[in-house]
Parts: sequence; structure tokens; C-alpha cells
Amino acid sequence: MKPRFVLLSAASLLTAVIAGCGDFKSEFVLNKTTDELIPPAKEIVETELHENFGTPEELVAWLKFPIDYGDEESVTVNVVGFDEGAKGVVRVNSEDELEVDFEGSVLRIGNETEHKISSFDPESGTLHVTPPIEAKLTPEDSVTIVLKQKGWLLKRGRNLYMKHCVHCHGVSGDGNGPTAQYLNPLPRDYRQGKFKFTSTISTEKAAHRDFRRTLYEGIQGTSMPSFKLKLIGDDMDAVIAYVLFLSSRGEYEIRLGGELKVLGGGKDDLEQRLRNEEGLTRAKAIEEFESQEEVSEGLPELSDSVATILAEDWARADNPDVEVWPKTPRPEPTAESIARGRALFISKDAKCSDCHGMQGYGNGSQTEAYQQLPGSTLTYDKPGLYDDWGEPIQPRNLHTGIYRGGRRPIDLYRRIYAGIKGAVMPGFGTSLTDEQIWDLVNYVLSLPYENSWHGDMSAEKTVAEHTVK
Amino acid sequence: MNSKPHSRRYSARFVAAGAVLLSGVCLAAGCNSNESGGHHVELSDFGTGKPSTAMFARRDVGPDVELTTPAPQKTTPKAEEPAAAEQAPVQKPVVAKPAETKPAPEKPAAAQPKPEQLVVAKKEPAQPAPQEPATEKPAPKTEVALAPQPAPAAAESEKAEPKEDLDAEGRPKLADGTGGFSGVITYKGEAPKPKNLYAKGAAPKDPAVCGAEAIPDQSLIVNQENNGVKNVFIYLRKKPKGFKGGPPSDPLTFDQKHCVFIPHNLIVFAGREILVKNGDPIVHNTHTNPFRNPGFNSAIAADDRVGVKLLYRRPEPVPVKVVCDLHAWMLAYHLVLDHPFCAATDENGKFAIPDLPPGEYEFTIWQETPGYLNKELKVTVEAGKYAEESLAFDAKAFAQFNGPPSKVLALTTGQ
Repeated sequence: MKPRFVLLSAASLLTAVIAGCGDFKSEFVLNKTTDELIPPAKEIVETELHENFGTPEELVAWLKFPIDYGDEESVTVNVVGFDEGAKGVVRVNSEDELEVDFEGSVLRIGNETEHKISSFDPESGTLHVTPPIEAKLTPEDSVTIVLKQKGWLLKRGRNLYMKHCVHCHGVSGDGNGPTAQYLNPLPRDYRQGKFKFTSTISTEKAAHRDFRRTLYEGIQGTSMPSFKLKLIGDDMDAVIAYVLFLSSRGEYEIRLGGELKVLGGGKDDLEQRLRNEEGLTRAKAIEEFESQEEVSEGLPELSDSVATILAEDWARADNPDVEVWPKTPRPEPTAESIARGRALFISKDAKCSDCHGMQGYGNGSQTEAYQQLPGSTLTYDKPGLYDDWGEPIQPRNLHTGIYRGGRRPIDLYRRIYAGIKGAVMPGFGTSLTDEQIWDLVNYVLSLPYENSWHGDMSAEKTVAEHTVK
Repeated sequence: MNSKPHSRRYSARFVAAGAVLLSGVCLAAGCNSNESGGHHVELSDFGTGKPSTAMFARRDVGPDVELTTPAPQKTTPKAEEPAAAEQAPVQKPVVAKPAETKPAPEKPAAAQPKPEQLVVAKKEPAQPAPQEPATEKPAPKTEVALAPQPAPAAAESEKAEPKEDLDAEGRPKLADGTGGFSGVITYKGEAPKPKNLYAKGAAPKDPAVCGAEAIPDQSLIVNQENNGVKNVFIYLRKKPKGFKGGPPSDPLTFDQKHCVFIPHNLIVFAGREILVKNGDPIVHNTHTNPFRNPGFNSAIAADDRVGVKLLYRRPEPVPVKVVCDLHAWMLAYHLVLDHPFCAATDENGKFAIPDLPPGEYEFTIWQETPGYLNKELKVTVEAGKYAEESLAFDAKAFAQFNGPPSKVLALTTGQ
């Protein structure tokens, strides 16, 4: 009996090892927009993605993007002793820098050879390096110890992302991690380069500080927690760098695919052509696509132009000119200001109530209207509002006191001024004055406490009165 | 007694081994891989015209005769019609202008005895390079809400001039050493009757404002007399090699009146500002989702005659759809290019693109319902004359393409 059991367990373990653990490898998955391309176009997107962004395990940092990947950090120290016999033991002289943990960093001699530091003894200043040093080091020589290699921030961000974020946001940043299906709202899909809660004007992307704030505070009312106790020091910047990397990668994929679609690389387009044009075969159409100048020779140019657009857009977001700041300070939330805000809320000038409802419960008439599908003349099958990811969304119920983009007055001001990107909420900075926006902020902030307005006055009475005004 | 614990232990081990095996199978099947999460099978098909169970109908073709569609050139505008002011933007110049769409005339301007009929691209003859002809006067930066326009004199001068710039067929005269491309796009078969999305007064939202006029269905406008198709874009996808020219500095106007965007089709030179205005006493939000430019989603205040700046920095590969989320039927298209060699057909289906350097071109013909009508229309342009092309498309070509026929989805109870 015993040998049989041993055999059985060994066999099952082997199965687990071969089939299970061996398969556990992080890989970027393709967006469904890439699946809409004909095979040669899809191949182009796959190749370009692999060349420009690598794999989760071997990241490629495209320096075109304004992302802080982490610059090289190194110290130069004098050699004190060199073991000519072992050739792998160097003693260096450095008093204060030696406190740094040298493990995992690199010793560089001149500008050519690099040796991995396998261990470091701070007492004696002895470094053990591999492979052994060929040249003879004398006490006059100095060596460079690279503490942080180029791109260290991105790598660290990747490691932290894989630990903290990947469960929901997925390896590719597609918001489709293993837990995603249990969450409402769904985790953000970074691949459109759109982030909802920002401090920038409505046409710009999210700034670095917005990522920092979201990581620091979490997003109330969603499953996004705060990471302020977890990501300390450089760690938060590292995660942000990796999120920006994933976002750039995802958006690059969508846009390159889109450009190829324009050049005739879309499956649907091809089907339509095959239906309409007589004498056209699939092979001929594919050959036509491949022989185009933009695809055959101009591909690097095309790829570069796509990335340039993204890089420019991301760079602009951190420009202080595009940050939203109120011109006037917030007025006191007096009954008058709240009443003005209330009147504006339901007025034809702001039409907040069209989506958020007359009472601010998020049940306005637009939740019953059919919206148009983007890029098509059709409408959605079901009424209601949809975000840019095609998911149905609810206008916020303003009575809960939960504000996803932050609960500070300035946060609400920015939501109203610049709108919510990727969602339907438009920016009102173009149509309302500062005072009007502040009145709205005061009104919205007062809504959870509506019943305690003006002491004994009931909510219905208050609303009726404001409507008359 | 001795064998019992042993067998119990054995069975426990067996169960454990089985669990390990199962987990192995599970891993192999990819339960752990990140792709498996969050996929749902969507069984409904978008836009197949299935009857909807909504609270109110999506589209309503009203019996009302207040139509804003093809008013043939011959018919004299009925002065007593209250809708005349609103029809004005529809009656575009005879020849579509390159890279230029006339701003929608304001109400008072349209009330004048229609000098716009003859306004055509005004070209400076001295211009050597194929530059975009400056057609309109710089729009006043600040306009007073619907105040009478102090521009009757200007309108007269415009009326007097353009005739010199037109050839016998009403197309802009070509600059020296350049050619042009002109033609007509027609509908093959019996022209579909113009329709309304909502009849007068039947707008499902803000009826006091949006229902003041019928809301026309502009998805396909066919002239009832000569089958010309309006609002078709003809453009070069890429700017011709060697073309150097920047955007004009004066802003374009993109307006909204009675919950309809005016104009429906706007040709924009990338880098040229657009002032998004609002002629309605209610707020609108103008929402674009362009491909190469940042999206725009801003509220436009009621009666905003100054306009909100909208800037496309880069050219777009296909026309950009513009919507208003507050009024879900509102729809317009912006064609953003980095050259002036493009046109939109007028109500007779005619277009003319002047000042092309001689050579061979591939034009894209695009209509909003099917998308591309022709992606690569090869045209050879010779100096000193227009290359002409008459294109007719049948109903099938103008039909909405809903993707390839959907596959039958087999639902099995097994794996």
C-alpha cells in the first residue's frame, strides 16, 4: 500500500508542478481592440508592443514618455585592498556611504566592465563580486558602485504593483484582475489613459499629483483602498511610474491599432469591402494592406507618431497652467449661498438635476434616455448613462456624503469645474462663474444634512422655497 | 483494531492527494490566470433593431411637415415661414468651400434677404501657394446675445465680389498652376424622403426649447429633385507632400440652436480655434471623443454668444463625432485636417476642391451612416482644370454596417 501511495502523491505533485506552477507566468494580454484587426495588423501591434514595452518580466522603458523610470544612482569610492589571488574580493574605503545596503548593486570599473556585488561587509569594507575582476586593482584606483540601476523605479513599481494592485487591476492594467469580477464599481482599466478624478482642466490627462492623491487617500465608496501606510518613501512614485507605464502601453496599443484600422487593417472594414467590392479577395486585400507605404516602410514613423502624441499629452498634464484653482476663495456656506446653489442645481443654466435628479438622489431624467454609442450612429440597447469604457454608470447620489474624488471643497470645485474624465459629467468651468461653482459646492456639501437645514424647517418646505426663488 | 487507523490514515492521504491533483488540474485549466476574470457572455446584440422596452421610443418620425431637409435651389424661400431663420444654415453656398464652413448665420443675419446664396470662396488671386482661401470675415470675438449684426455693408461687399471668383459652373476659380477636383455625389434609386427625428414640439426633453422646431434626421439627406446627397466629406487623408500652410488665425464658429448643432458638418484646419456657442436658453454640453486629440466635454452656458474655445491640435484620421449628453439626439461631425484639400457636399451633392497641385491623389469619401463610401478614390489632377467625377451610390452603400453577421452561439451544459 505504501509504495502505491508514494507513487500517487508523487504523480499528483508532478502534475501540479508541470501544469500548474510552470504556467504561472505574468504576461501582458492584448486589448480586444487588437483582436478586431486583421492578422498582419495584429502582428504589427504585437511586435511593436513587445519591442517598445517588453514583458512584465523584462520591462522596456520607452524614454519618449515623460515617466520617471528612475535614474542611475552611484557612488565612486577608492580601492584600499585587492585580493589578487581570489580576484573577486575588493576592499574599499568609504566612511559614510558604506551604510547603504550594497547587496544586489553593481561594481563598475571604468566605464566598461560590471560585476555583481554578491556580498558586502560594512565592518571591513570588503566586497565580494562576480564574475572575478580580470584587471589588477591598486589602491590608487577608484571604482563606481551603482546603487540603483537605470529604471530601478519602474522595476520596483512593477514588484509593488504585482504585490498590491494586480489582484484588481490585472497584469496589463486592464482592470480585469482575478478579483475584478466581484467588484462594483469595476477597477479602473488604465489602457485608455483616462483617469476620473484629477486636478487638471477637462481636456487634459491626470497629473502626477492626482495619482499620488488617489493612492494616498484611496477612492471612497469603491474598493480602492488607501495605500498611505503601505507605500512609503519612493514606493508610491514607483507604483505611479508603473501605472503610467501600463497606461501608456495600453493607450499606445489602442491608438496604434486605430491607426492601422484607418489604413484598412480592421476586420470589420475588410468584411465590408469584401461585401461591396467585386473581384476582391481576402488575400488581395491583405496584400494591399501590407504593401502600403505607411505599413511597409513607414511603420517606425507611424509607431513613433503615436507615442509622440501620448508623450505630449502626458507631459502637458503636469504643467502648472492646466491645474484647476479657484479664482476666489470659498464663501461661507450660508443659507443664501446654499439656496443659490440649489436654484442653480435645478436651473437651465447648469442642469445638474437632469442627471443627479431634482433632489440630488442621482435619478435624473437622463438615466432614462438612450445615449449614442461612441463612433456609431446607433444608440445603446438599454437607457441610461455609459462611461467611455462602455460600462453603465450612475450619476452620484449626493445625499450619501461619499465623494469619490475627495470630500474637500476644492475637490468638489474641481469636479464641477473640469468634470469627470471618461464619464459623462462635463466641465462647468466654461459656463459657470467661480461664485456659482462655489454655491453649488456649498449646496452639494449641505445635501447629506438637508433635514437639519434652518433648524425646524422641513426638507420639502426648503426645496419648495428654493424652487420659487 | 490495528488496521483501522491505518486505513483511515490511508483514506485521508488519498483525499489529500486527490485535492493536490484537482488543484493541478485547476491551475492547468487557467483558473488562476488573470485573463479568466470578469468575462461575461453578452447575448444581446447592439443595434439590431430589436423592439425596445424603454419608457419612450428612441426615435420618433413625426407626421409634421416642418422639414429642414433639401430645399432645392430653385424654390424661392418662403418669407412668411417662421422657420426661415433656422433653414438658413442648411442652404449652403452652391459650391462647398475648401477647408471652410461658413459659420451659421445668426438669426438676424438670416432674416436679411439672403445674400448668402451666392457667397462663395473668396480667393486672393495673388496667392501663389495653394493656401486656404480666406472666405469669411474674422468672427467678432465678442458677440452680444442675438443682437442685430452690424454687418449689412460687409454682406453686400461679399455679394458683389464672389462672382469674379467663380467659373461658369459656380466653382472657385483655380490659382495659377493648380488644378482642382469637383463632382457630384448622388443616390442611386428613389431618393428617401426627408425625415424628422422628432416632430415639432415632440422633443422628449426641454420641449419648450428643443421642440420649437422639428429636429431633422440628418443621417442621410438626399435631394428630392436631383438625388444629390448632402453632407458627404471628400478629403485627402494625408496632406500632399510639399504642402506648407498653417491654420487661419480667425476662429470658426460651432453653434447650437433648438437643440441641433449648427453646422452639422464642420471642416476644421488642425490648430484653428473653434468657438462653441449656444443659441438656446438652456445649457448644453458639447462632448467629443477624438482619436488623436484630447477629448472635450464642457458645458456651454445658455445663450453663450462669446463661445468656449475648442482646439484640435492634430489632424484626425476620420471625422470626429460630437454629441451632447443632455440631449441624446444631438449629433455633429468635425473633420479635422492639416490641409485645406477637402469639402463637404452641398444640398445638390456637389463639391469642389480647388488649388490642388497637379498630381495623383487618393481621396476618401465619407458619409456618417456607413462611414467610408470610398476609401481610395484615385484622381489625377491636371493644372488649370477641374478633374470631374460623378459618383452614385445605391441604398446598400448608404446602409449602416453592423459588423459581420453574428455567429450562432451554442450553449452547452457540459464544460
